[in-house]
Amino acid sequence: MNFIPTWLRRLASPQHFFGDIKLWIAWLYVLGTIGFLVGSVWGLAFVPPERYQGDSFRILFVHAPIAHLVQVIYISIAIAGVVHLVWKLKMADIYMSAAAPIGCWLTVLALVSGMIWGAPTWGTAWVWDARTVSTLILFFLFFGLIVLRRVIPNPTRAAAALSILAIVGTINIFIIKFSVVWFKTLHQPASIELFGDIAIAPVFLAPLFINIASTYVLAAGFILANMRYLVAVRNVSMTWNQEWVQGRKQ
Amino acid sequence: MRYWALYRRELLIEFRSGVESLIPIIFFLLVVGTFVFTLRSFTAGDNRVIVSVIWITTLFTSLLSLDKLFKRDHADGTLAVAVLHSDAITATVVTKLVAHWSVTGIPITVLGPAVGLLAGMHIDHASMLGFTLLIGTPTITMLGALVTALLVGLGRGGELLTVLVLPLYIPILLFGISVCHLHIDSASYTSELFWCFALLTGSTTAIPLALGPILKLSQDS
Amino acid sequence: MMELLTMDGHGIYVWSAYILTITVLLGLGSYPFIRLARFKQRHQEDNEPK
Repeated sequence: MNFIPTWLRRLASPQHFFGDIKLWIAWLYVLGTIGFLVGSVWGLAFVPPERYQGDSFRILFVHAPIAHLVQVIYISIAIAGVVHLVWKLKMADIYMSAAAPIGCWLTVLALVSGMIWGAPTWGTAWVWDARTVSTLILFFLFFGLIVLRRVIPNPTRAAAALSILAIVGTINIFIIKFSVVWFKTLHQPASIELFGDIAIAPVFLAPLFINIASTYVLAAGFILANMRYLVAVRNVSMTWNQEWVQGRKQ
Repeated sequence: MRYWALYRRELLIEFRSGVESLIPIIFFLLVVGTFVFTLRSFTAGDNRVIVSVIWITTLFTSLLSLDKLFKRDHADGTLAVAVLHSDAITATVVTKLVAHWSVTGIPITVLGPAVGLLAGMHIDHASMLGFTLLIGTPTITMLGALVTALLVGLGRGGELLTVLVLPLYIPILLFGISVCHLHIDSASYTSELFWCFALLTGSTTAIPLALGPILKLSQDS
Repeated sequence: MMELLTMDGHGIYVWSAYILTITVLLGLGSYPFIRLARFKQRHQEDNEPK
């Protein structure tokens, strides 16, 4: 395992993770916040209204990045699950526990902002198409992970259960996402394509990409901050933790 | 031979419990019956709705019976002994699951289309429903067993199982229902049917292999 | 300025979506730190009587 750099290997130890990650979190928060503000202000004020949807389409810049992000978070939990099952890495277990609640809240946010967008453009807050349904299922899967973590008292068993559920859930989400597209009769053909026959105009792409990138950065910061909390809680009895609690160490 | 004996033992235990073993089936008939009755009374109640009702009730029925899948074996220590023989655990679990499917999946596969016929479905459509249930119920048993195994010995099945399992049932539900709907509409359903088979083979091959280690872990705590 | 606020009648949707997103992000960003501070405080209290 010599190809793994030393700074990364240090992070696998709870004590070093707790100390080292602080700076990372600070940078991720700062960069993410700046990026998100730039992208949002750009999208709100400096982009012309879209041809068909008028000004409502500006919700795109906060809705689409989050809706995309939650799927990435869920898949990342499944990857952490594989890592945990194969290498028994404690940090993978902590990652799963830290990312699940954040993913769950962001999924709710994606659903609600989607409804707010749907109301003026589709005339209805909810459409039963591939994207909304798979996001809804994603919410249930995130919720399942959180509940499973809480009900299993043995940490080893809880981590294994979480890994398995996350892996099966990922397969599930992929099947739902790609299957609903093929439905011929259950759903009306191509209910409402967001941008119909026109592709996204280049003028809208810049703020969209800035916001996608900054939500990634922010989510990474949130998850690491949550992991730092979990590392502190789970290593309550350690000397380094005691020293930190008593204020002898930052 | 050993597994045949185990299979017979499972069935015997199921039937010894008498009327109790009929509860899931009665539940199935009750729910489908209530649905069909209300649909027929107040609306036209198209056949496609009946198909969906029968499929969804199948899922609920499986939830009802899954709870006790490993419960007794865990309580009397059979499971603890079974996981000690780690080379045989997969075959043992598969035998248990086949037995479980025999008493829950097969009756529903037979009763589903029968109820469909009584509700006024055409015989062709009802047999297609039976066929999709035949492919779907083993998949349902497998996925359900996976989540049940995660929860063995926690002393709380029921509602927790529901929340964890139902999202995993959605792919097979969607494909099963869409095959029937496309068949009713006389459209091509080949790709959906292939997906049903894919889910069946995928779940019946991968899940038994995972069940052994999961059950083993449940005995450690 | 008013145009930016009302957005042709779509303003209410656009602004509520943005405000909601920012609120959730703020909450998610601050909650780990609040929890960590609470955890530290609780354990300081536990240690004091000794």
